[in-house]
Amino acid sequence: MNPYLVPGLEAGPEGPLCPFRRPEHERYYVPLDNTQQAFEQFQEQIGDLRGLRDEGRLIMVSGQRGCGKTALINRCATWLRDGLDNLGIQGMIFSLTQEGLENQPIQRRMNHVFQCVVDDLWQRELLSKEDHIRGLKERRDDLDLAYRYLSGVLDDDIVTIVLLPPSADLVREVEGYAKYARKHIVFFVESSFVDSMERSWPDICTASRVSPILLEVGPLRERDGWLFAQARQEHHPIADEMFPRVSEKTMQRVTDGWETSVGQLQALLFGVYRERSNRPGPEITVTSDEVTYADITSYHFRLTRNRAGHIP
Amino acid sequence: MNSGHRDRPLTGWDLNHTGRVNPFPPTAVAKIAEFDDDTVTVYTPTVREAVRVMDDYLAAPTAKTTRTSPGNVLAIVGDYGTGKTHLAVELLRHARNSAGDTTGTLYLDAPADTFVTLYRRFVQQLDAADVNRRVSEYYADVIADALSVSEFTSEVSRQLRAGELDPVEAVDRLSLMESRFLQQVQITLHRVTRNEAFGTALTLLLRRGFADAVWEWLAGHAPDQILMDRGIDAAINNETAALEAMGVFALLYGHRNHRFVVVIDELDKLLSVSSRPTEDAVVGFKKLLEVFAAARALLVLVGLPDYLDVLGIDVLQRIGRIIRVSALTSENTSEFISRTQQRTLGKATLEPFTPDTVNYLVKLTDGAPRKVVRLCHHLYRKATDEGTQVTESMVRQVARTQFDFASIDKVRGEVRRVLDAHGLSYFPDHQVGRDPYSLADYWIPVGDLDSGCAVLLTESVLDATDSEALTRRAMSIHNAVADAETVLVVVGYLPSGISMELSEAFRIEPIVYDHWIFGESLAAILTSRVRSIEEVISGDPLVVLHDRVERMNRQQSNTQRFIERLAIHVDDMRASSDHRLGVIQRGLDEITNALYSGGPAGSPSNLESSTGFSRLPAEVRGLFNEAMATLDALNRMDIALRDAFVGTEQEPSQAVDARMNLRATLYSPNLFHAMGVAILLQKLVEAFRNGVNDWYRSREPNPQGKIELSDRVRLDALCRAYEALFAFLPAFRLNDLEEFPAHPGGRDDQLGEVVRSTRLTNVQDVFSSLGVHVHKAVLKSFSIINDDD
Repeated sequence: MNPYLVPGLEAGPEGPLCPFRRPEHERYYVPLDNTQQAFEQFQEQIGDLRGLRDEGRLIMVSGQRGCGKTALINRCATWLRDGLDNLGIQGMIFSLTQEGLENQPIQRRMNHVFQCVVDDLWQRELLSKEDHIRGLKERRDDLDLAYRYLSGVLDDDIVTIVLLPPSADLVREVEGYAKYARKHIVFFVESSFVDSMERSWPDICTASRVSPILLEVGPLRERDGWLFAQARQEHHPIADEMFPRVSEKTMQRVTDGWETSVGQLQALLFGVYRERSNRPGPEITVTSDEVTYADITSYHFRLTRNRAGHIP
Repeated sequence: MNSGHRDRPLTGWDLNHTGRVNPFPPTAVAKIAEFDDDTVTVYTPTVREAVRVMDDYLAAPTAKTTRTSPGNVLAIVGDYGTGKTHLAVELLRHARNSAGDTTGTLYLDAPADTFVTLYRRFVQQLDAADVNRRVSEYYADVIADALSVSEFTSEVSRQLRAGELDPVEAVDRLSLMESRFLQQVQITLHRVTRNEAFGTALTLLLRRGFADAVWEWLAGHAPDQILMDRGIDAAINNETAALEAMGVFALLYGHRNHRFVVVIDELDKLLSVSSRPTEDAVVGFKKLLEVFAAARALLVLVGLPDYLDVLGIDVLQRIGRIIRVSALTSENTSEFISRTQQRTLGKATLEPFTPDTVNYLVKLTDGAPRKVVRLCHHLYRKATDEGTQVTESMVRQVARTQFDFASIDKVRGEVRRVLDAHGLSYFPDHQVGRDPYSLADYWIPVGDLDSGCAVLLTESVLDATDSEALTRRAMSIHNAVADAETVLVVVGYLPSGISMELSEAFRIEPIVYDHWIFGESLAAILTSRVRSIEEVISGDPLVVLHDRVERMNRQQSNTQRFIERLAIHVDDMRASSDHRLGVIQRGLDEITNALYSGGPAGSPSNLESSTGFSRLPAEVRGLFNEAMATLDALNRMDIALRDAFVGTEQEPSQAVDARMNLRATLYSPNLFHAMGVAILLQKLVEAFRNGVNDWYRSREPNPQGKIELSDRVRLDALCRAYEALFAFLPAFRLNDLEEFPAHPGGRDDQLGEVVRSTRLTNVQDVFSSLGVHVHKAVLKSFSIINDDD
């Protein structure tokens, strides 16, 4: 039994929390590495949600790999959708985070995203008129015109919430989406190339019709490691059952002195527990066993020696 | 004057019963591909000095621990055939043997083009995996630094620094914050390479899916869109960018304890008075030298002394050491002979040379290594043929044969072309005064007939007798005409001692014929000689001006005539290409038919019998193909015969011209000899090729993939048979094929002569060494490097 296994993420334990697909994920969010502050910042800065029918918005989440960008975006998108719902506006989330390859040209990536949005709208029967489809096809070579047209043909009670594929170091791509965020369209974009995006943020702001929102997440701060482990251990659905625990002191030693991310910690602890659960032996109890610093370091060491390249 | 008779060329295999191998290479042109650990290098003072520079460079401490530049630039200069390339390649070998694990080496042959082409060759030769490793090391160090501060990750940090863990894998497995490290690497590489685009591009090598686009850009192509999206929008397609790019790699390699040695050979092709680089290129080149000196890299620049003159003082100051290759001494030559025989024959001996003949050989060749090596090959052959020792007269005899590589008649033609091109009027075979010794091969009158410039042509001048005869002619001309200048052209060899004597007599250094630069050199000298005469005799400037205008008029009309002939020649080439394509198509059809026709069971297929070389490895096949390609005189006969018939329907006048031209050529009895020799030679090479092919087919299989002794003996016999037969062919007759025109231009066919003369120079070399090269290539195909037992 693994306290770091989140329901719904069995196939990919390192995957992000996604409350708009799995509502139960909402309670798995832990307020660490600035994610809570970022979420609150978003709630404040997005303002009156009704305004999204008149002006679109770009929200960029910036932070190193594994710091929880996608999880934050999913949380913000869920909150946005639910908030719009309460106002009688249909917030449609289009999750396209897996729809782009880093080594494709920007234009091709953006064309693909646009096509995915149109296809999804059509499949959800939100774009049923033939002339609208034709109009979008005619304009697809000029995305500025295409998004302008799209925002014009969408019903007034619809807001599309598009979760874009990570832009990595493609600053010009983010500038493009800033320009295309028109009425009824909200773009969420993420990038792990923090410095590049920070340097280009003024240009992104200039390209936007309405001030974009920048949310930043980062590596774990002091005690965040313990907060995370504690939350998982206590919030596990079967927390009463017996499984070895990791102590605050151990977590401090593991995370002390170097910058680590929540994703990294999640993968590490998940692996440690999985390895222990595969270990043959008598039933282990909370009082009789503990995940020690030695357990974690030896697992960590074995990770570096694994030639197959996957988590053992 | 020397006699016109030539000995037949010597071959690489002995005919006598001992079956001795000639240990000396027949052509002494250093080719890096033929350099191996056994290649003999005599450590002259030059070589010792250069090796010392290399050793100092390899032993230099890291840049962090010393204030002096860890890198260096070394220039090696010398004339043709003085051993520059051999020295450069020896330095590379020394570097690899001394510090191969940590030293990357690269040899570049400079193109007769721009630095952009040089850079493209540079990138082609780079080991992509090695470049990736260098970039990876920067990445590993960045990650290791970040992880070193924590007890938990200190072991990972250690593994990264030690190279036990690949950084890209570490990031993946441990879910590390990749983008942060990548951004740091990018900043580092930008700082190290001093180039933002390279910082970005090299970092992309660490990310999956970008390698192809990055290497395409590094190779000089326009950047792919995925690079342009990241700010790389200029191709490396101008000289400044190309030189900067080379410097980037020098800096990239200067990490940890790595060394990077780059040799640029024949730099004079890029930097010379005639192909003077642009100012931007010189500035870029200067910066390249600075970068190499600042990085942990050694740049070795090799070429003729000219290129140093082009560079200028401020660039020369960036060169750490200039080494001028020294000539071989008698001791060096003796050592070379002895060690070469030790290597090949297993016996360190001077025989069949003697100390006296070695001294004479060195004196005659001025110690030029290429000439020494080449003469050693042929002298060894001749001496063992005749069962004698090498003598001084033998040395002279062989020198005349080997260094008279162009005929006097051919050079006369080139002289005429130069005179025509510059609008100079001239009288061939003109007796300047009453003294019969005042005969000039060409007399160029300046002003009135009493003034002028005499051009004398001669073959190799090897001894005092030859020199005195020429001196007498020069003096006779000067005595006959007060305002006379004389120019001597030597078609062959001219030792430096005799050259000095003749320089005095002719009042100018003789021109030693060199196919590549003769026209330019002669033109420059004649222009200056004529001008100096004009300055002496000119009373009335208008007379001088009138002469010059007339000269320009003649020059212009000659040029016009040349262009017209060129147009005709191009038309002919187009027609002959159509013909050749047709021949090729027919050949392909025959092969296809043979494939599909089949034959009786157990009999050789038609393909094998018709092509005959289906079992030969690529390298061996290439040698035969090259030999056959040099015999294109036979193709020209085909073309000439074809021209006599094919134009009959469409261009009757052209066909008539072709027939008349062909008949005129057929009047020459020498042509029949030449064609006969060419056909025999073609048959000989075909038979040799078929013999080697049959050898491959019939040799005994060996479990280790080596050659059985009996097969080795058969191979030796095959190659000896070829050489023995070739030795009896009067290959020198092939020179008469120059008489055979390819278009109606006939003897004044300037373009055709230029094309033909280049080919014929190589013919004898190709065939005389074919047996040796085929033998070596066959052995190499069985991974046997040393062809001695």
